[in-house]
Amino acid sequence: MNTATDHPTNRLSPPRSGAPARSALRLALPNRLALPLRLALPLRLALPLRLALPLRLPLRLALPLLLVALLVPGVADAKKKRKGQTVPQFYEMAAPTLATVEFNQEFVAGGQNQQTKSYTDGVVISADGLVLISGNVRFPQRGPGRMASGSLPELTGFRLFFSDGREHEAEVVTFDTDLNLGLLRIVDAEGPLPHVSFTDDFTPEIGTAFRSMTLYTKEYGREPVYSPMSINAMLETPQDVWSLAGSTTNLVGAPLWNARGKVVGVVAQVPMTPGAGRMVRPRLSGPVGLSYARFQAFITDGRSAAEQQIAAQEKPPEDDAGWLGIEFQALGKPVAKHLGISEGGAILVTRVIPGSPAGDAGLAPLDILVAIDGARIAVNKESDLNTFIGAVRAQKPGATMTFTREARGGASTDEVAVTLANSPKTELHAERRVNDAFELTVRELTLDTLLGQRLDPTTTGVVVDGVTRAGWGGLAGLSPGMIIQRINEHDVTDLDTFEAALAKVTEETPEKVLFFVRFRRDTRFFVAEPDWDELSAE
Amino acid sequence: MLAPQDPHRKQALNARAHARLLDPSPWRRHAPAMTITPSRLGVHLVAVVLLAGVAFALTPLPTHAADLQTSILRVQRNAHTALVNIQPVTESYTRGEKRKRASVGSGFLIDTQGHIVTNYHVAGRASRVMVTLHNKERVEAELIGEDPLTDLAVIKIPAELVSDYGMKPVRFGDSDALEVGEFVMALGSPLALARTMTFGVVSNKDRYLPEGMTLPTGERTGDFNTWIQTDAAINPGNSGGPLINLAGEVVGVNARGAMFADNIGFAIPAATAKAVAASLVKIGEVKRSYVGIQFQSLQDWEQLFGMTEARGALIASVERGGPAAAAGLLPGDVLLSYGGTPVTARFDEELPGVYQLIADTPIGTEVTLEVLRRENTSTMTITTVETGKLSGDEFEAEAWGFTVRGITDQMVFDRDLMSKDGVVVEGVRTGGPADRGNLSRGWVIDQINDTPVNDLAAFEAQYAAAGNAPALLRIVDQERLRLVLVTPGDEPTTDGGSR
Repeated sequence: MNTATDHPTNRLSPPRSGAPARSALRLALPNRLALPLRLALPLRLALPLRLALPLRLPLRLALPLLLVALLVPGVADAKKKRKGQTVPQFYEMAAPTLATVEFNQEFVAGGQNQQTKSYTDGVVISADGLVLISGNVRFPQRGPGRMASGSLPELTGFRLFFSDGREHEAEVVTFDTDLNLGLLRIVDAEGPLPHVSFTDDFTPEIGTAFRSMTLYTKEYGREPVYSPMSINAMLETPQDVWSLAGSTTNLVGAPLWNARGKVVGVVAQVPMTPGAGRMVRPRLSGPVGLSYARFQAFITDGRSAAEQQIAAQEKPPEDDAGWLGIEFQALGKPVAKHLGISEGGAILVTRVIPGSPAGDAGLAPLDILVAIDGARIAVNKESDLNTFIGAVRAQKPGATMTFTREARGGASTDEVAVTLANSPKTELHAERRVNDAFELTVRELTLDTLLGQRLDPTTTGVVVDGVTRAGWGGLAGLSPGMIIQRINEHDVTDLDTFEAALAKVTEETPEKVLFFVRFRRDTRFFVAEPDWDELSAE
Repeated sequence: MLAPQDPHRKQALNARAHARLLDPSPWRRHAPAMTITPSRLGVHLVAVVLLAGVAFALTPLPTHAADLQTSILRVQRNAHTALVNIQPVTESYTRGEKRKRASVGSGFLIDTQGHIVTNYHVAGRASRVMVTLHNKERVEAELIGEDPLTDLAVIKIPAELVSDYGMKPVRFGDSDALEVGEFVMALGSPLALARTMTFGVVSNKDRYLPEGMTLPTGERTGDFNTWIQTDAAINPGNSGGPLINLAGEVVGVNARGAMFADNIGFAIPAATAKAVAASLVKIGEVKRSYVGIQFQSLQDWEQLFGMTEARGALIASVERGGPAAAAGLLPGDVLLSYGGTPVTARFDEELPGVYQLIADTPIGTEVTLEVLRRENTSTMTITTVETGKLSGDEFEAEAWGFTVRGITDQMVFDRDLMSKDGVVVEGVRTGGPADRGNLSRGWVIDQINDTPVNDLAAFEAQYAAAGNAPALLRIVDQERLRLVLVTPGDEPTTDGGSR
């Protein structure tokens, strides 16, 4: 069963939350079957005559070609007297806006420091050099598109390579964890840059075709590649996205153009459950299409962030979605019926996080919630949950949501008003510190780790984030996930006390350094015996 | 090999005795990666039967190959009637329904009443046990007692058959006196090939396998003994058979083989097997005390804990809610003596001895502890509780399509459950009513139709009372509460059963 929560729980490995929700194919809805003509005919007819002719036709040929126009998408628009682009025109327009973005990642995996070079697609979206990329760059990778497990990478060295030979350096501006998109800013532009233009005047449907483009690798001369795709399904879950025929992971980050040369979306991999993007290694969908309407706000916010010259951040900014503090499941029609709950959908609260807004407002496990601010919670089965969670996360901290709670038997309802708090920090946003002597990275203890290890809420310490196996910390037996609570006689409650403890130890250079750690419900001692002479010589 | 009249023989014997005194107790860091041990992969319990090696210290050393051969044959002739091939039928509930499983293991006769020692993972919880004797006769045996913590069990055949079929029991030898390099034989049924003998030496006599091993059925095991490692061939099917020395004494019970390795097998020492078997014969179980402490070896860290010499057992972790927690013990305390007996565990191999000392305490005893905390020694008292059964009984709720298990105190610790109330879901039958209701394995049911279910008996009663009506189960899933509706005989719904 899906455990839905509005806060991820961080176990050592990503949680298995049961079978993924099935998507509801929109094909079932009659209004999506409009234009039978288009669907009934093959998308491309081999018409050598057509391809050989230039776009502007003498009028006498226009009539028979109008018939042809009905059959070939793109040109079909011509009958509405709108200007379309030929593929060569598109190619010429699009190619200068695309770049291969190379970057470096440094993270710890398998007990070793990994330094990997990776690349992704980027598209220039403004004349002053804002670049839209996939958020995948944040996750540990062993080569492009190949996710690895490991600690949160440090990102450096962003460089853009265009097909016409231009090269630019860039810095990170910001990321959106729900959409898994990122923004870069070119820092060495010497004038306005070719960029794409967006439009939200666009009605997608099954069969809608896009033009897209990516670049070949350096070995192939960074040649632009024409990559047509089309919508083969409209998905509501995990998010409102388009399933794309013709997409591959190589195309993640590639824009989706309409026939008139405007970008209407981007190819992305989105987190499979809302909020999951706040993990270091979330479960992601395959390559799907995100409509511009969905990331328009992200670009606007990012643009102002770049304009205010907010320094490039190495880690993404805090999550600004509101937080309730409950875990819940779909009540389901059979149970709802059995309990006499009114029809229309409901969720069952399974857990209330102590100290959260939900807890303060008086929600309790096994509460049945049927409406928010008067609107029915239309959750009848688990696959409906993502929509609901998304609606909650769209609220900002400080907003008040009034839940209607129904008692069993449908006899009575009451209203519970919950004022959303700031989303607690997750592992992804946790502050990290590195200790070179012990080749150890630690991070602050965040709520998701507390919940994942089922720790007492009063637990303090720092979490081992990454450790090289043959370093002094690794040889002592430390491994990721362990919570360091004491080093020698110094208590470690947070990152500052951790650094202070190690500073003292480094000063005193004892033969043995005793670590007291907790992991889940067990505690244990580990002893490191660093070679201080070797360390001080470095 | 030396000839009996060889003038150098005496010298060699002395050299050997000298060597024994010098032999340092082998210490190593934590046992090598146990990923190779089948136990990690749940397959480890390969019962290997090692034929007995003869007790080395007590008998004259065979002086040449012919003598060695004679000794081996003598052992085989005396011991082979004690060996049995065991075919148990066990019931498994992990797939949400009661399923039977047939397997093959080995065992050996220890007395004339017909008691046979084998592994728990062979005959434990068996619903039916057939044995094949040395003369190939097949007999049904009765399960007398089982002890998952040491992975041992005792079954019994009728006493008349022992005499009728001329079976001679084998006796236990002194596994503590074993030396590395002694000849041993493994008897058993590797790959179900009954009445097989293999031959080798003791490769290591106190091999430490890490804590936290679990049996295929989920119980914790291996806390109380180190292992005899041997290169006498041990294969699946040897489980429960004897490891015999040249004196014809059982020095171990073959229980484990290392995967992806040749000639690395492990046997439970006779010292453990003898004591456990005696208790199983007498009362059908082994009663142990429990205090809720996890120790770790002190190594050479004594100064870090305020000592000048290395002694005592370092407390690594104190179980929440256990007797040690109640007594105020804390991680970092060093246990210096337990009930007056000094305790030391510098190396991992010494840890099982400490756990054994605690386990042997009569249940409910108030024990005086000498504890060192930050250079101050103090006296504390602790009252032990019963370890109790590692796992509760199982039950199949057939109409509902799932199986449950009663919860014991140990299960609350081992599985980190919230409390002892309720029953835990062992398995959910695919496609059954509970599966459609999205019930999951590992969840605890503490109410049915708003009636509390405190234990397995209450669950069974509620199940019977519910009949064919839909049943609302209240679930405790760690810190969460859930509701699951089980509708017996339900057709799959088309309105999107949540899956």
